Amino acid sequence: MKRAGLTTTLEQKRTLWEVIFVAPQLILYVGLTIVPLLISIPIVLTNQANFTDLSIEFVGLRNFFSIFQFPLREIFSAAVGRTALLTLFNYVLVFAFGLTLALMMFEGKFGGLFFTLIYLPYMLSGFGIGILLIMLFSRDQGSLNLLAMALGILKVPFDIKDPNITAFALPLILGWRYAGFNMALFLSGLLAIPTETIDASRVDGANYWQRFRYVYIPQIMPSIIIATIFCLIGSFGVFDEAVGMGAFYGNPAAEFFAITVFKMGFGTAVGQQIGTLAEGMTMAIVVFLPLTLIAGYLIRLQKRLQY
Amino acid sequence: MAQTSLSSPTASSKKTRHTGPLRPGSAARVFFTLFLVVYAVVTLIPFYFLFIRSFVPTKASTQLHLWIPKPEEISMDSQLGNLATFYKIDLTGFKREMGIQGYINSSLTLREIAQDFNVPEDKMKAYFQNYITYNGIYAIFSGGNFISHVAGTVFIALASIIFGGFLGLATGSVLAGLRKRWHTWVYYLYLLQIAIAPIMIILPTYLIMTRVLNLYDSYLALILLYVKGGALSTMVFTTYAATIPVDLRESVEIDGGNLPTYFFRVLLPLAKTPFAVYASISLPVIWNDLLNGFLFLSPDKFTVIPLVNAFTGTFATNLQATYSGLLFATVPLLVVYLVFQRLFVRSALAGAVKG
Repeated sequence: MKRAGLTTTLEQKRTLWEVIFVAPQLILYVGLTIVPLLISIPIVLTNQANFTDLSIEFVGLRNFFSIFQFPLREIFSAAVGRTALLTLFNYVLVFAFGLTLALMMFEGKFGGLFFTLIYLPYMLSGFGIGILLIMLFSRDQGSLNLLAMALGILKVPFDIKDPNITAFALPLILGWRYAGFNMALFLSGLLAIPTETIDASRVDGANYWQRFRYVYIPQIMPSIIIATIFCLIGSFGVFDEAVGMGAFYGNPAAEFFAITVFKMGFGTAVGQQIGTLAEGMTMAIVVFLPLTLIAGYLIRLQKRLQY
Repeated sequence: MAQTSLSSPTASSKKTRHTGPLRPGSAARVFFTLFLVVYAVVTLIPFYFLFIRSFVPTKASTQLHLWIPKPEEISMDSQLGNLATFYKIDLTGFKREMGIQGYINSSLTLREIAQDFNVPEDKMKAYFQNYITYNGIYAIFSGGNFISHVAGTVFIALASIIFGGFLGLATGSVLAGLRKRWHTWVYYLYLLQIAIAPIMIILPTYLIMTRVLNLYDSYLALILLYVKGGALSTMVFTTYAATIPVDLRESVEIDGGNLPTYFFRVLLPLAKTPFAVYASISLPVIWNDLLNGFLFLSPDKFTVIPLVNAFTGTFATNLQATYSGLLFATVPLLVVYLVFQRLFVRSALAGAVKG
């Protein structure tokens, strides 16, 4: 039953209200997230040196070449390599901590107090994590170093300023920090599994490993995908932790990708300018564009898997 | 020890609850319990050390301390000037407390001062003792205004959560159910935020904030950044709004109302749960933010984490101050977390895989 005139006016009024309600936040979001993303494109085509630089010239695609040449190439590849390794170790620990804990909580139906304690480290700031890392593992004063040596477990203390040590210690402490978060992620995925599928597998005589592989994993794929996205983007965005570890006070082990990009854009503020702001943004785009595309693809995949 | 049991969010009344395969007392259950207990204890170790190290004087940091150390004895032969500089003691206050008038030569030792001005040595020792033991705490609080920085952070967090929640709910009220094409586009636009690392856009965002909006040293800059919305708020509030039965929406329209009426009369009053989920996930993110506070505020207005970061420069040689600073910057959030722990836990489970 179409009452053409009335429907159109009503529809128009509805749409007007919808726009009014969506607009405030959308304007902020677009202005402070999407627009910056788009602005970075023209910037990488210039030679803007830092954020106070006003004498900007258009230089075409030159930055895309200069980041792959000496001297930036060394800095670029070192930072990316270090961060990629971090991402890999983080990813392993996401499952080692998060999935293991989630499975235990799920099978045993454990309760609130464990959850509270496991989730507690998430309340620490990323910066605090960096400070803690030094506090626990510094060669001369690290509490865990001192403890391990007193107990006779260690002969030589770990040196947190050694990039090789940091490569293991940082993922470990990040795994500790996000254990509760990842556990919640996997646990909510597990709790959403229809119980018939689990009971059916038990009736069919499946052992735990088979149940895990064929019943649990496929049905918690959405959680796994989200955990992957967070780990990927988060690891490349590691910044606060590196600052806490002394990235701006000459700790070479803390030169992760986000720190390098920051130093190129805001280096003058912390007295350590490398390259130009435009080159920093170029590096950021070269690395993050593929990551964002991957993450975007994963998000769509996850949406489709959820029913 | 009360244990809230976890039940499946999708359990409907006609399905039987999934009972764990672990009977109480079975080997697996004992093992899991043991594992979880050990893990829970180990998880607290770094916090414990942070607490202890806040009381360990820098000079003693190279020794292992498993509990708060006995404060070292103040030597009466130490020079006043050295003490004052290292422990950042205000000499005017000292003189007032000791009843000393007039000028004191700061290269005098404490013993000499006690003799010259007739002050009992014990009284002098007691005065300085607190500065030694609680040096970290004195350093950060006497530098001035640690409390006001905390207050500033609380203000930003509250304002951001309230306005962010309000704006998020407004967005959710429209996007619920994704009935129209453009709704879906806007929804996915917000979801895109997960894939955008802050460092990627921080340089252009800084340029926009300072050049276009002219917000140089302003709480407003941070608040805008926190309320602009993203994947979390959009997912939480859109999902919530979609749970309201369509009949309620239609009945508002029949009575001549429209979206505003629906929003204020129906959605808002019932929005306690999604708002709580949003608040509990946003609060740690806002409180612990380093980058934005550092870039958009002057040191006088720093939020707590950039402030502690500044300590690592100012108190580079005083580790105790840094650790105390971190401890006190974290404690407020920990307290809120422990008080509302059930809420945080439930939000983490609910908010994790939504949308």
